[in-house]
Amino acid sequence: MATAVAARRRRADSFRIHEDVAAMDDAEMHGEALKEEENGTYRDDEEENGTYRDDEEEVEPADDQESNYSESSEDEPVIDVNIQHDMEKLQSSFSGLRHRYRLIKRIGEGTFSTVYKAEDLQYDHFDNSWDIEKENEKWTPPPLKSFTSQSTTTLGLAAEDPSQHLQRRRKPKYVAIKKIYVTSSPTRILNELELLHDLRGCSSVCPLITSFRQTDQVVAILPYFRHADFREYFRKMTVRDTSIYLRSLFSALASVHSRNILHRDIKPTNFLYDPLTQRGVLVDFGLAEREGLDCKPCLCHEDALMRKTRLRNAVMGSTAPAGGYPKQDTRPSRRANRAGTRGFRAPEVLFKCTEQTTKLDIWSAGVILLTILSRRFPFFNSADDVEAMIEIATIFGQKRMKAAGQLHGCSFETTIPTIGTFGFSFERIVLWSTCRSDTGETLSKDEKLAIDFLNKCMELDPSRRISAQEALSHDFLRMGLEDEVSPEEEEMDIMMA
Amino acid sequence: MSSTRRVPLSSNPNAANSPLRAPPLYSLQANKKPRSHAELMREEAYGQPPPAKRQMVDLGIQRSTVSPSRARPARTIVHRAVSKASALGTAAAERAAQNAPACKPSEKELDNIRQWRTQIRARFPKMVFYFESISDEQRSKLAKQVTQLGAREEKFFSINITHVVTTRPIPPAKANRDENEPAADGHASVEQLKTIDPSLLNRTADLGIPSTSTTSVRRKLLFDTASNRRIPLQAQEDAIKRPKARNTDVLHRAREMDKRIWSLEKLQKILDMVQEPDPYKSAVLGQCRGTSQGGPNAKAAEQSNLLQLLQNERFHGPSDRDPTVASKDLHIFKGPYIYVYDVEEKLKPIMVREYAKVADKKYGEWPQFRVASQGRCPFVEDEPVDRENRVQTRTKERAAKAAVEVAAPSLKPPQVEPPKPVTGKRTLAEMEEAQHRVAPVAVMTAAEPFDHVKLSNAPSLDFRTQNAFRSHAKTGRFLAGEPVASGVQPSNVTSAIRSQMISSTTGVLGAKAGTSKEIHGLQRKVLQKASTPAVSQDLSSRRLAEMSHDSNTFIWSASLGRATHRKLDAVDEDESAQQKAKLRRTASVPVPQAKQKARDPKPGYCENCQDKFEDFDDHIVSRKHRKFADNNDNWAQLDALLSQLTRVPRYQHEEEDEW
Repeated sequence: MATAVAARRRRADSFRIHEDVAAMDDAEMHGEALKEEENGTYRDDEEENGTYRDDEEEVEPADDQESNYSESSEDEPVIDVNIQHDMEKLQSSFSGLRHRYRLIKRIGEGTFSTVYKAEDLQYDHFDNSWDIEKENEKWTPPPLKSFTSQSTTTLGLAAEDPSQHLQRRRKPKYVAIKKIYVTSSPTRILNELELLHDLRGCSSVCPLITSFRQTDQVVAILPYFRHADFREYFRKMTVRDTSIYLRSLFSALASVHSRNILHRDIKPTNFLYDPLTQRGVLVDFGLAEREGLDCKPCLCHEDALMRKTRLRNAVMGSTAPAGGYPKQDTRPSRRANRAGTRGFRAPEVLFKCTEQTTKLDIWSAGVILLTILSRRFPFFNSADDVEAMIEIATIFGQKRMKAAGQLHGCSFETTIPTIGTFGFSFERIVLWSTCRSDTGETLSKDEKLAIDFLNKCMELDPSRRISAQEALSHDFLRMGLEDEVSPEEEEMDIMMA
Repeated sequence: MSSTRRVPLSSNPNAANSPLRAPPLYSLQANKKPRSHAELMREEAYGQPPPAKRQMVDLGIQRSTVSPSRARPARTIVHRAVSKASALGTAAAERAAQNAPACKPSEKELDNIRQWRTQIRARFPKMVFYFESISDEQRSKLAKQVTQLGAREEKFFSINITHVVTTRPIPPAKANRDENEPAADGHASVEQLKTIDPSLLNRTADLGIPSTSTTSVRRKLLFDTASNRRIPLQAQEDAIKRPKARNTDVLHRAREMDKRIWSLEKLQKILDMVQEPDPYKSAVLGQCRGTSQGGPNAKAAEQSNLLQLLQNERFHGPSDRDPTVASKDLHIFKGPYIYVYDVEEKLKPIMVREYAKVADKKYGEWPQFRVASQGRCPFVEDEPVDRENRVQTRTKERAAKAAVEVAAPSLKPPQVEPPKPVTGKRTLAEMEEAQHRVAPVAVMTAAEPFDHVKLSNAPSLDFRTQNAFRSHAKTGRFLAGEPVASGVQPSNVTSAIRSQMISSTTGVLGAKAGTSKEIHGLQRKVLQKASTPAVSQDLSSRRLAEMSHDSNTFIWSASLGRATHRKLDAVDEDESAQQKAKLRRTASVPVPQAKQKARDPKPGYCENCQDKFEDFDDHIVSRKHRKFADNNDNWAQLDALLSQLTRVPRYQHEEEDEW
């Protein structure tokens, strides 16, 4: 642990150099994707290159090269011009935008929006309570204070604090400008902004600074949150790091869920995490919705007995052809919201449950945990829902999948030989994924705790899946909280706040 | 490569016969297959019970409920049984039909089922099947199942076979019975009850008579049970008489040779029951038999099952229980599949996909744990060598294409590749429209051009192509690893939108531009438009062009009406597309203008106009869209929220500036 901290500190320092000296250039030159706010569906091309150059150089030079390679070879010649053009267009489409924000680069693109990094030229003119990095906080005083004092001593980012007043004029303040495509309906835009507005003040949820519209063009201004690419750090995360990461994520989820909001698109790209400060914010509520708003009753909400009866009756009266399906099917299809990202969709989404709950976010968070524990990203490759189902079934086995399907009135049938009857335990999968199964190694105590937590997150039955609030009191997420007072712990408090 | 297998499989009947799916014996005679088709055709021409479904329904609803006695003429025992079921029986039947789903197999029945299963399993190895009038796919599937149970399939009708399985109405064993043994009737009818009732199976076992006689008896009985269910078909006198005309008919010969003739339905039912691991479910499967033991109740239940069957058919369309339609309307899985459907069967299947059969499961196309080096997705195989080559070829090709700028039609992605992405796409189509499920080819053609256009300028799309099943390369590592970054599965674009995108004509652009003839024709159009400043790539002027072009449309539409307007729009799309193609060409000329590379049209869907568009930039300046955008009423709600979102000035005296 001590070495880890030391290493982190070292990285932090070098990072700070980058940040201070040439933060902007760095961003531009290395294609740093600092804030990718996307709608779960990337048309993008733009690979997130690491924020932490020094890390890459030290540890993963190959990765870095490759990503650069892919970027330059595939998009740069074309995209660059276009991006420039788009940025120009955006700036001129709003009178006055140019004076307030200086667009720097595109950092993300989704189906419904493009996100740019921009300098907030008039930062000083406004109340910036959203700015978690500034010195005089109003909205979350106690944790912030502790954070400030702590970070002053250890971490690069906040170490600037003492000199912040002096620096402010010189050091640019960044925001993320989310340009919502004009083809998005006002309803969709309203939904996202409204939810964000409702969530203001939630810890670990990216606040909305402001938003405005000119005819059909709506732009949202969000804080620019410095973070690292998940791929850069997830393999180096210790179980304890993982716990911290997830605690941050789950505290965000807890506050989102407590407002009965489903995020629907939980994945590493939407949880901007800075391993240095160990802070994370949840972004992109473009797919979010309120629980129960667009629901039709699903069997999974009936009590077990009722469900059993209905299933039995259905099976009895079944004319379902074995081993085939009708070619011409005039029956209506089951409709359910399936918004989300492949590989992160909960089984109930795949089963087209018509009464989805906040638990589906927990599943996705579980997938993140599985990814970290198995050191494999992405863990699920699934090009589509069918493949996603097969992948999940490979893990859980037919028996549990059948049961899971029945919860939603679905019959799950498969003859795919690699889907066994009982599937595999996560413990086995993690051992196997980390190439420890042959050596006879077993999981550490911490890892076992993590697996236990994972089992609760990736529970096929949404009603039995752990809730975000419950998760926060799980031993795994409390890991380290009882430990000796370390800077990290104080930060955890921030996350919990 | 492996995926190319898919396509042929679904269209090539012989594929079903591949040595992989059946014992060698079987494959030797693969070429025999078409015959059954031919036969089927011939039979249809003969005016075989034509609209089988309607017939059943009619009979079921009108006849069997109203007057079962009309079914009397049939000579099978079954009919007699039914006809004996008087008016009272019918009423009881109706009652039973309602109650039926509620009855549960008792513990004892479960036992019976288990025993019956072991017995029938024991008998299978002695059976030799000949499938008659059964579609190839279904047949191979059955053959496989049957083979698994130890029986075998004969390609030719011969003395060796023990069972004929057919989808056609089974000719009553009239000749035989009439001549030989009137006793056979009684004999059968007694036994019929036995077979029907699982508890009876139990009894035989209890009595310790596993003799061959019982078995053969039971077989016969099973057959009879099956024919029970087929009453309506047989009930019609002409249906019975007609077969007479063809004495060379296999079924008749089978009768003469005293072979067992099973309906497809019956075989399937037996297979289902035998293979269903859950005795409970199996019991349910066999329940129609189970409940019908002895007494008038038996008959009532019998009929009720029939009624239920018909009822179901009325609701759900022909099910596989109607063997004559089965082969046409039911897609039977041949390879490994995943099938998730609504238990209550009121809705379309939730997901279904079938994979090509493979000798070794590790070659299967479906996602499975692969040997992947650390850090990579466990479901993605580490790059096989040949694949890498392909990718390289592909990349090269792409490069070449980019250089030429205008896609020549010959510049297709390697033949081996396309099916891969298609599977991915297929699902989407699948989910929306069930009929597409069986037509991957059709979807593919739509999908391919889409890729074509995208090839040069949308690497991300291409990426997905390579990534659909296996990670695309060592170069991939994590960067390709993240589904989002590499895959362009617009997961939250509804499939409808997506399929629209796919089907949109934009996809054809590249290909179109390639054919010089068309270019020629289209250039004319461009020339017509040349008066506008559109030729310049400069966007502002392009926009201007769009505007003017738009106003043109407006004028025309005013005089020509809406329909024409639509049409014109289509033409215009063509033009602008062509225009772009042309521009792209211009750009390809190695001139310092390289910066002015044409933007690829960005197709998509506008939620506001509820319309798909070919190019984003074009669309957002279109009249329709502007009309929506400029109407503040559309934005009232949003504005209300936005007014709460203004930025708070730091100092009170700061000007009210909400940026």
